[in-house]
Amino acid sequence: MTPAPSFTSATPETSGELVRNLTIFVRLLREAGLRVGPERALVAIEALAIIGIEQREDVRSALAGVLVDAPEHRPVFDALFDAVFQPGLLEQALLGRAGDAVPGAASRAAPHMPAGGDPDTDSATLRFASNQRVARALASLRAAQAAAPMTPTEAKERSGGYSRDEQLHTTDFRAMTVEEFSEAAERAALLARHLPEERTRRSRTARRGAPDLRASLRRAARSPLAIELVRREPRWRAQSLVLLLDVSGSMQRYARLMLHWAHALTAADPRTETLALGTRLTRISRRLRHRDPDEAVRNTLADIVDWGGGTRLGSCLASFNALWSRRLLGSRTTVLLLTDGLDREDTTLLASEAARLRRHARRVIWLNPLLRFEGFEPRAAGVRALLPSVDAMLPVHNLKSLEQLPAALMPGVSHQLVKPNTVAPSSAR
Amino acid sequence: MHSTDSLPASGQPWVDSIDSLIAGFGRHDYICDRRLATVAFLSLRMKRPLLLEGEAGVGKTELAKTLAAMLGAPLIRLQCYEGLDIAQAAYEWNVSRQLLEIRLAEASGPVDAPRIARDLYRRDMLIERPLMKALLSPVPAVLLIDELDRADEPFEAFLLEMLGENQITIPELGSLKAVHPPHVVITSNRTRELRDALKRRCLYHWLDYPDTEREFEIVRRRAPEAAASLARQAVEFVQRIRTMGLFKPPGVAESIDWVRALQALDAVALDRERVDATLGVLLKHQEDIERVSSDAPLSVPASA
Repeated sequence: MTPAPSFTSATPETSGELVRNLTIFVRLLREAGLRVGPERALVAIEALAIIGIEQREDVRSALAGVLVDAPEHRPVFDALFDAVFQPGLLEQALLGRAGDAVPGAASRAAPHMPAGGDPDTDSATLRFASNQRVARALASLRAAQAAAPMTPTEAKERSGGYSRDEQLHTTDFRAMTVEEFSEAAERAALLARHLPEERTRRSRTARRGAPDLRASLRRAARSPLAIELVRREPRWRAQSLVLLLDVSGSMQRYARLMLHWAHALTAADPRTETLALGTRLTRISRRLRHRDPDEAVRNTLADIVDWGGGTRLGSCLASFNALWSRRLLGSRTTVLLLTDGLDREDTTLLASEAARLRRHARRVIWLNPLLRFEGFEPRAAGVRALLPSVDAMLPVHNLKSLEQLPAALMPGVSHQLVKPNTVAPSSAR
Repeated sequence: MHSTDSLPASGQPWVDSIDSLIAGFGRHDYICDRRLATVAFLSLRMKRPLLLEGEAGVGKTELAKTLAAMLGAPLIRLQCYEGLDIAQAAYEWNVSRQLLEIRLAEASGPVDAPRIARDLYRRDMLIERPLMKALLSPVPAVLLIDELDRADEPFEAFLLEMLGENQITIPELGSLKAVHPPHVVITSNRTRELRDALKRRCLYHWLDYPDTEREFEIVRRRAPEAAASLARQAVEFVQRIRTMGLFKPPGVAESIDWVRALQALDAVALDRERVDATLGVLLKHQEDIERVSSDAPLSVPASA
């Protein structure tokens, strides 16, 4: 390949445009969730000065080498690159008047972005989630350019009013539109970061806390003139959690959202374990450790072969108890069981396995979306079989209920948790 | 013309384009796609470290070796491991020689304490470890920092000075700056995320498994003794099981080994028996072996 005469001979004005266009591109990437600082635009220019801009694919590789630093961001980068730097229009997009290329890009990007297909199907929401992130980035930039003084963040703030917020808050996950759902998934992920930590028996030196006489003496021995009290306070750490997620047909919508929640939990603490219960048991913790949420959830769904199928809760719990409980459950582990308790199988198995599970964990908390109904009564056989073995049953059908979870997960409060009054008193712990 | 003339002579004038880099790699039996070549080329030109991430066995380390062979530069390798410290990675004072020096000074008469203290921390009292060696190399070396994700995070912070400024600061001596900065290749298996500060100083490339054609070519180059038809069947088989979601999918290195193993068993085509017998070359986990030997429909393509 010959070096790029057209670029190296570019006048200062056009290379100024190049800087501006690349800066816009970098900002787009940031909007779409990549972590690239504005200074990377300069590095990108240095790279383009070396390889030239004749070959589109070389430009793509070069920019990717500079601007992308994790494989899961590559699809997002490629989609944005295709949208902004159209074949044949590359030079114009790079050297044209600043911003010329981008405003139209969102509309031009459309063919690259299957618009979500059938919005009713769950898989559509997810399959194109990363494309949605790209589209949103382009759209917010376009909005920002239309109203010149408004920065993209301002635009975002202005579009989301309080009343809409409040509504999203209390809407049942099942009743949400595709957009609402993906926004709810993001919020749920944020909520996962605020789970209470638990106190450990270890302590560390701190400003306040109980006096540590030994350490104080040691310090006094070193510098006898200044006697100072050393104090210690207990260490805190994230609770260890195991999530058991019912992925049967009746639970699909909730399970999808809880996958996002689980991903955020896993990101906050990689020890978090998640298993999917359907007609069989699938361990999905490893998939959820992928950093990008959409990619992680997509891979997870690919792994769960019985997604949206039937439920065999009892046998799933049995295989969890047999295969995983010894490895994953410790005396400090809290099990979160997300299911509606509707099981086709013989419930005696379910009852005995649930009891076994309860014996091995610190506590079992049942997150039941069916609690959205005011007068929920545990009539289904599966529900009745599960109830005696759980410490608490909590609703998880909207963001509001997710928000209340942390309070219920405070270490040490499990015994105070009251189950719905429909529960027989004998089962209260 | 512009790029070769306007840039400082790097000593390898013939790596003047992406194509010549691909060709140069090819001469050393390293087959790479244009994406990787572009980033590698830029890393040479921009004098920025090349950060390669990817699954084990996709040819990250091999790239550094090939680069060194192609440039005729010495390859200096730093294998990272947990607990790796500066003494092992960069430099160490030669304590026994220092002690000896003190004894000699004492024996030869009255001791001039300040002078001894100065003499004890001379350049030649340093034991050079890989990073220092690469920095002080009389010709530009290729420095391979292998599996950086295995080293502790604080070690990355230490690397920053070396990667950004091409210098190492020794408290007793001051900063040593490279005359001929090395070409740095960093690899990571991504068992943990590297720090952003480090990534920012590098050009990044995620090395993926090669496609069938490229892998076939690689296997042909690396295991030329095997029949072409066998190599093709084997590569197609490997490509198929990589999509099965195994615990540890086989890398290119494993494909090459496997083809060699099949060849050693005088196979001319894949058959169920030989595949089962040699799966251990390809897969290193019992669960994976069980899955492949029970699941994989061993449909041998007719196109062989």
